[in-house]
Amino acid sequence: MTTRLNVTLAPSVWAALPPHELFALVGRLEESGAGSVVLTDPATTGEAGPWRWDPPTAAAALAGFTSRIGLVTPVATGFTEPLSASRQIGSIDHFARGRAGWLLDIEEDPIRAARTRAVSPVLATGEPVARAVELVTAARSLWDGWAEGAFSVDIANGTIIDRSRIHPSDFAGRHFRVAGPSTLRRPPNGNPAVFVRVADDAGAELAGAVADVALVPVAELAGRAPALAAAAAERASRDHGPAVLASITLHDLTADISATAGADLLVDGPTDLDVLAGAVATLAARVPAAEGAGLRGTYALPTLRG
Amino acid sequence: MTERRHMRINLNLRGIGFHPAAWRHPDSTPHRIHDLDYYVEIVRTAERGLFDSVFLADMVAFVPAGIGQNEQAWPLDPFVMLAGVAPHTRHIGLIGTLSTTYNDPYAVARKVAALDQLSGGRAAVNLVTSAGDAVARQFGWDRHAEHARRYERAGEFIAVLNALWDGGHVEHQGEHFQVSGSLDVAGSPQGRPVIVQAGASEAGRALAGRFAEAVFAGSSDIPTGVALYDDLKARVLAGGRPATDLAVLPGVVPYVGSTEAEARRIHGEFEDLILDDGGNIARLGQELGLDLSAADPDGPVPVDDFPAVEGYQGAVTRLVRLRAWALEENTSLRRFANTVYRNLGVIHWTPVGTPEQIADELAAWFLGGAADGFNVLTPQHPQQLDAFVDHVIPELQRRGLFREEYTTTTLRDHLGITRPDLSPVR
Repeated sequence: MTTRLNVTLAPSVWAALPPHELFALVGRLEESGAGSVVLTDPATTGEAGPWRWDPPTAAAALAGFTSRIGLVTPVATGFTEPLSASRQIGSIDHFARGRAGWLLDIEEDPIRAARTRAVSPVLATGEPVARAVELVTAARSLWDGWAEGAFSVDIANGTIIDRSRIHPSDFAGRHFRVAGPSTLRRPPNGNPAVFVRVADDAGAELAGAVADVALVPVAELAGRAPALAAAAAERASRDHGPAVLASITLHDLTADISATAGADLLVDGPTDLDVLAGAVATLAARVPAAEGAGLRGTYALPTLRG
Repeated sequence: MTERRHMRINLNLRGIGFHPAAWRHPDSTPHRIHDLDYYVEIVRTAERGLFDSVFLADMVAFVPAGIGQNEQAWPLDPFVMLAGVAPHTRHIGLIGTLSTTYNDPYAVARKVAALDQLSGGRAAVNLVTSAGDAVARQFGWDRHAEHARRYERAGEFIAVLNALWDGGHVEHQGEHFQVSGSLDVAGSPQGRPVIVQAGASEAGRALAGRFAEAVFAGSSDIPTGVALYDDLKARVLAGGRPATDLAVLPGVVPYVGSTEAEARRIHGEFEDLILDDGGNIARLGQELGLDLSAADPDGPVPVDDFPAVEGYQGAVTRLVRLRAWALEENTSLRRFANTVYRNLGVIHWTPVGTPEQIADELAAWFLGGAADGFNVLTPQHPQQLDAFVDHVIPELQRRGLFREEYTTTTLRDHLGITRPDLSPVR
């Protein structure tokens, strides 16, 4: 069983890079054994730009420049309708042949974000977690509206969909209503994985409610992580708790690898992609040992079906 | 004219092509329409043909066609598709569709600006106000907003969009949007991403006159094309912009063969792939108030029985066009009815011929004041796009009507549209 390290990139690490540099960085992470990369949204943290990217655009662009690594992107949780979110993530999943993931994050200052985004602040007040949970639930209902095999090219009968395998959602919650069906063919993953960072109780709550994958910082593997992960599993409202995946967050390409990974990974001198790659490879190799520290489950992105 | 202008050519890219049944042809590959590789190949072909841009429409409501009717394209998210394709291309403009009714300006500004950064200034957005209650129900509403209200919102939407793209702090207190903030994506390599519009109603044309930099027009003959062209240009001038700051691009569905006979054979092969559910003849009868139940499907169209224009309660323009078409095509009732009711059948003009013949027609529209260029709706992929790129484009180049190479790097510059920072009037 392999546990595959997640590498989370802070906005300052990735969002201002020219395209070829971002492709090179993620390509090296892939070669180094990272199972997935998260492209953190600067809008969520409120970090001022100017940036070159928004995360879904980057994930889509990376689809053709990578072949194994999972591409995990947020979609502006507080400001996106289920239909749009499910189509964005699902479309990336199609182009990346089953390698898309959805980072469910919550804006740190929803009111400010709402004003900036020119939408009524009412949308962003109260219950941001409940709203995020409902967003995912509704998006899943849209993905599931197209059963396996619903897209089925039938030359003889002149159809490319099988209508008997496509059903409306008729989803009606407190925050969203969506009729469905979507126009989006079922993604290769069926339901692309929803990732939640679990670094505190709020994260554990959100992860327990909807996550397929709980991202736990490597540095906390021996600390609070097992308790948080257990809390997430306990609160799981689905039939199973989230899988737990060790994660490192890079805030810049020099300091953080050593800070998060322990003294034996101290990087000496100016860090470049080779050093980063070496550090990630070392970490990726170490992670399985952490399973004995109380983490349950492992997660690798499902491979492409059909 | 001292300087011969070049046509602008856009590829309207629909994965399964625009002919209703050509996707059933053995040369077509409809099973690939959700693959990145498929779109990279097609857009690279268009780039080989030096096209100005590629355009992706969108469909958010599930409205399947009947058996034998035009299958839907079942698109992926247009901006995900364009972001996937962008790094595999270098010159071609990338136009995606978004609704001003069901999005907020910040989200659109950010998404398009990011594509613009990724592509080095090749991004554009085709803004639509959407249509129908089925779309509304995908976004939590029971009914679609009323037409005038949608266009009012669209106008304010675009004003906010432009302000966000222009950078700096935006403070906007309007009826539909309240904004206090700034876009976090860097300024556009082309000054501003390009805004495209396609609405043909009075409100749509008014909006285009104020804001649009390219319009996908639907005209099926030169006189109606000229009328629309002149109307749109007059509106642009009235709004204080030079007429050249709006490119009017009528749609065309070209069927290309090396001889006229081959082109007709190819077109005929596609037509024969249309599955007939038998309902279109009845639909035609219903529309025109005729009882066609006893008519021979393989016999001629009973044009003499069509109602007179005087006193006709339906759409008169359409009646006139249907009559002219029936006389011109001289085809069977079955094929006529199928063509009328298939998607786009009577909206866009569909020349069938050799590269020279297609070029003649394009030139007639272009030089006749009906077009700045064309929105090419390829009937089938990949052969019909290959034929257009490899044979029609060189013919246009020989006539001095189309570029020999890309001489600019951004979409705005390909189209020759003034950069906003250089515009004398804002």
